[in-house]
Amino acid sequence: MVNYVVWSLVIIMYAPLFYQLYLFQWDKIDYTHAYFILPLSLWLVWRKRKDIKELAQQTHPGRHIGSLIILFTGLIMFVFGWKQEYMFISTLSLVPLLFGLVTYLYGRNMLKPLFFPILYLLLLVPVPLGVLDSITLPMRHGTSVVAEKILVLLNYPIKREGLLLTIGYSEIFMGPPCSGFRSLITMFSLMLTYVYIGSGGFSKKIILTSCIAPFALFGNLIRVVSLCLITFYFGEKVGQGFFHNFSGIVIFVITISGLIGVDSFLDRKLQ
Amino acid sequence: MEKYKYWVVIILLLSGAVLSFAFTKEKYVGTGFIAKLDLPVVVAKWRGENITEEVNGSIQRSTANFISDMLSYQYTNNEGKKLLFIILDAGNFHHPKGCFTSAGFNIRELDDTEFNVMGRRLQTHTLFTEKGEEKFLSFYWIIIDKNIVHEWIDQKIKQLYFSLFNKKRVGLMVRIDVLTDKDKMKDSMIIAKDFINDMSKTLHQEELDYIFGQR
Repeated sequence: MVNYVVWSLVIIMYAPLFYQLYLFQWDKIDYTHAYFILPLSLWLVWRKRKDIKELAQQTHPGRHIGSLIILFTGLIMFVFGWKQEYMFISTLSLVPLLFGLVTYLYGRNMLKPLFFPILYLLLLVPVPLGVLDSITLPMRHGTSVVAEKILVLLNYPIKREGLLLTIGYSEIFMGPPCSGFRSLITMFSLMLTYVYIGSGGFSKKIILTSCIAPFALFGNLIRVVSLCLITFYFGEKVGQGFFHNFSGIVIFVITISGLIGVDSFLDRKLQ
Repeated sequence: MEKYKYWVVIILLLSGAVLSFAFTKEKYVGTGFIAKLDLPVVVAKWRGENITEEVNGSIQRSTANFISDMLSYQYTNNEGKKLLFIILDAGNFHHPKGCFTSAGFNIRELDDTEFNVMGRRLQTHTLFTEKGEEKFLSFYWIIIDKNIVHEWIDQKIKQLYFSLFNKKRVGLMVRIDVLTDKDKMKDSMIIAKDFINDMSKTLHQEELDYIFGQR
């Protein structure tokens, strides 16, 4: 019974934060991936429910002062972040709070099934604007430079001025969606789960994880280049209308098929 | 099962919940400093024009929703040299490097420039920005409650400090853009120094402290 009281209190504390995240963050372009982070994390916990139940019934004597300190740190972070409206800090607090809570109440062994699902919640943390700018701007710039170079190589009449590409008589501005950050973070969140639940040892998982970023960035580049070509041949209306929204699928297809390819390649090699 | 542990956790969580939700939050809503600021239209040999609405319109097209208030004047001196003087009031600031780059400008960060403002040592970030024929030398500084915060991390620490103690602060970013050319940067720097010198003489002590920092 007392167990339920603890977890209900955690839910009561974090529900307003999630509501705020939903109101202010989830419509932002670089945070759309966050919709599925909590459900996926809960699903990962649910998958391990048998191990968790067994571990919860064991007794864990000891002081666990370290766990209590971690729990207390998480709590202080939450209170401070909430009061001062630093969503970054209040959301981040979820990770130390859960680590502290789980290890203090159920012992360190409980971390085995819960370590990844808790750590996965880091992807829920909204990146601060200043940090996001310094990540996405170079990404947008890099994408526009490489896209320009590819199209110049293919003999298309393209000119670049900062983040503005002019192909033929049409202009394409490398807005925030073109940075590739959204696809990178979304694919990273999804593919991490794929890698975590997939078969294979630690080294295979490390290789697969390190392949996510290059595939997602390559997918974004192909998307931008095809957007330029569609705009060149069919005009700005077509390029920046239906195709602009639809082209995100290109990144998904490239990243997912790329990773599945690497996965089966590694399986064959390791057999 | 060690029951006392659960009670420890329950007490901690309840205390956290009470501290978080039982008291009201302080918010940065701007201090109205800019509305009260009385920038002169004629400053020595400079003649100004308030172009706040025009600049505000162009800024709102980007994602600058963190700005509470702004003021923008274009000044022209008796030799026809123009410059833009912008003051933003905000709880948080983007790096101008980011704003310029996303507007299609190529930028080059130059060494900081130092100005002497009525006995104050004002150190500003300096950028050379270029887009086609448009070339500017931009000087900017961030000042929170009369204290210049030169580095980004310094700015964040100050914001944290003020939010912790709920002080009603004045957080400003001041920028001066002077039209220039690559080989005329020294001339543009002299124009900016000249303008700051003239402007500082017309402002009240309090305004001076908020815009250029305390002596």
